[in-house]
Amino acid sequence: MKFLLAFLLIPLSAQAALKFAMERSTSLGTDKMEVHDEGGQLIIKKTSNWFDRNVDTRLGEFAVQNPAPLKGVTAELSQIESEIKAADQRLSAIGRGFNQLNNNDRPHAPFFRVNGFKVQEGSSLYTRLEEIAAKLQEAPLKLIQGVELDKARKNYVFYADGKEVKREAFNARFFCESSRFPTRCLAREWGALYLE
Amino acid sequence: MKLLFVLLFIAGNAWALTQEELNANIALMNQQTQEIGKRLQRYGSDCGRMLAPLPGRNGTPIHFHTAVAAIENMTSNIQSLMSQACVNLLLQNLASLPSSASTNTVMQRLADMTRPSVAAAPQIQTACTPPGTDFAELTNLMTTVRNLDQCAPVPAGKGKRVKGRSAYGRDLDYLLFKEKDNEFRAVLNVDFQMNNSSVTSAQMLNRAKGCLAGANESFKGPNGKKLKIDLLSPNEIGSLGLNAARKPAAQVVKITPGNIGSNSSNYQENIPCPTLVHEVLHLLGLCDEYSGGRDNFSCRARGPLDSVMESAETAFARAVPRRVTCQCDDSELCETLQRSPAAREFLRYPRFEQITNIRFRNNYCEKAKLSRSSRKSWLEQNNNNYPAVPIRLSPTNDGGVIFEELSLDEEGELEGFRYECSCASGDVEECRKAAKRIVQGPRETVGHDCPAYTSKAAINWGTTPRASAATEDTISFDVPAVPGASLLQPAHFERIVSGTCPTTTPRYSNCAAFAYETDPNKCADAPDYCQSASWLQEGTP
Repeated sequence: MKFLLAFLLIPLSAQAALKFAMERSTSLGTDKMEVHDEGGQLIIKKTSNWFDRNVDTRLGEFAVQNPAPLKGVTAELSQIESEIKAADQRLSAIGRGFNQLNNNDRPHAPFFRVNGFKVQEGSSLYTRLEEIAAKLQEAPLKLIQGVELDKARKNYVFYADGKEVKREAFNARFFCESSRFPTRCLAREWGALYLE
Repeated sequence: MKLLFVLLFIAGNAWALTQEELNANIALMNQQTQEIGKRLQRYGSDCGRMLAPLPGRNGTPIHFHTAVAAIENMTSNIQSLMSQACVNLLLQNLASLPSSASTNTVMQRLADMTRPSVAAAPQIQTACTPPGTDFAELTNLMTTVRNLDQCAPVPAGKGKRVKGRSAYGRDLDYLLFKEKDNEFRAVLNVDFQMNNSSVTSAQMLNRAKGCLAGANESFKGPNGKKLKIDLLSPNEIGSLGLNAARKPAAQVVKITPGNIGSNSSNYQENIPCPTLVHEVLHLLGLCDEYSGGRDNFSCRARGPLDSVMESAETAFARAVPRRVTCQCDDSELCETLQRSPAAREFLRYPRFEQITNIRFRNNYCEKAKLSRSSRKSWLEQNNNNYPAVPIRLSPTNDGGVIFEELSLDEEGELEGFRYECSCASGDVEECRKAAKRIVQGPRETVGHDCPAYTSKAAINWGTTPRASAATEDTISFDVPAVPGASLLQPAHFERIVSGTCPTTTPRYSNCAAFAYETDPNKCADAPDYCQSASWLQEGTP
């Protein structure tokens, strides 16, 4: 397993400690897909499958199985971050900050976060971040720790260190907003699943 | 006073500029800028040619210096006509361009004319601020005029347009009518637009109107006041015959496919009524009140669990009466219910999953089946009849609750469950509060309206009472509202009917200003009362 993990995780360049997230706020918590490094390794954490492009009923901490398509993503993120920092600095000269100019007029709208800087729709950086997000969403992931709703939707299967550690009966009436699909279901401490 | 008139005149002119005129001005400005660029390259220090008239409107040349002044004024017009939100993003985008003297100048001008969207705790203002001197006098005069206009009471039978910035930072634009002394009506201009959805704009408008029709009797305020909310399409607003200055701008709401969540500018095509109304209330200036901790909105003031801005489903379940039709998963259950009114009554009693919300169950509770022997002995204690109170509960040492219930399974046979909810970890306070409510009551339906092994087939909000009924595959019954319950907290009501007036509900406004603050260092600036429930009680006599 150690070998497998070493193979799966992508090393980041030494100077980059980037954290990138796509988020949106909801009444049941934050739908979030977050990419950051832990000890120099690229880790993806998901608290929701809301941003997924493919059907996936897993939440938690993931390793990337095929890093090739993500080449260039961290470089592009570093470039965007440096542009934001430069903009932040220019704005500080006129008594403003990059984050200070973000708006609250769409409270549940999705947005990006690049190392603490929030980028909303309408920003000139938004489209570039969408493209980065799309690449990340296509990357095959292995669940390291978290939860998976099984295909039959009978059980939540919990994982730690890439191994199954526990099962719990999935009862839509107990865990979901509606007992009929499509609905949103909570998965204990791991977040929310949107089920068709 | 002269100064005041000049200010109003300038503001009036800016306001009168239509989008078409603005577009024409932009095109002209581009033409002029190109011409100036050409001359700079060709004529250098030949001032006669350099400063010759430039192209103007309708082919009439315009003096060079007039054009230069107009280009400068353009920035002011952008500020006057654009929402604060767009100006903020424009500033961000300008700052992302390579640094140049011109972008720096424009940024400085925009910054001078705008205020930050996330400010320190706003000062509570009075309607009449005493004038000072010089620029302060000017500013105070403007504030006074604005406040007098925004805070002027609407006489009964009259209305006004509410336009300006909400306490939490959203741009507001709606009509507010005072129909009688205690009765108000808010009218929004909403332009539903299809965005890869199967639901059309007209269908969504009808659905929204239906939701509001059901909820409109439940928007109650302090002292018996009532509010109704109407959504009109741009065409319907147009047919009201309002002049441009009184017509609220259309708020675009996109209808998105079912797998995309809703926000105030995007509605999921199957958006349920509680969510829809929650989003509409954002358009009227109310902010979210659910826990902001997980979203990094750590300064957010919390509302009670039954506040529509905290949990719309819970608020609706309390305040809006409804007729629910539930479809049986297995026809045997519905056949039992059809045969036996006693079984229908037995099943109508709210069980655990109906009186608790999903968050409480997920975060604190485990579910297990009651053994056959437990069920049997429970039934025997009731002479083998359905018990009138089919639940048993007891508090736990950590402030949680153990809840047992008898119910019917999918075949109409007796079954039972045990729920053990522990408040030993997590948000202990939230857990204990909810557990206490379960133990002490009132145990109101806040979760699923339909009994187990059935699912909601239809729900009609705001209906008049009828007896329960069952068919071969459905059961229908009324769920009444809690007597006196309102969908709005007192401060919600007062905030909406006060429009953008900054001097009413100052507590609500001061707390709302922190609802989306992401800098935890700024939480200390929020007034202490935002931490108690009192901020939403503002307006209560």
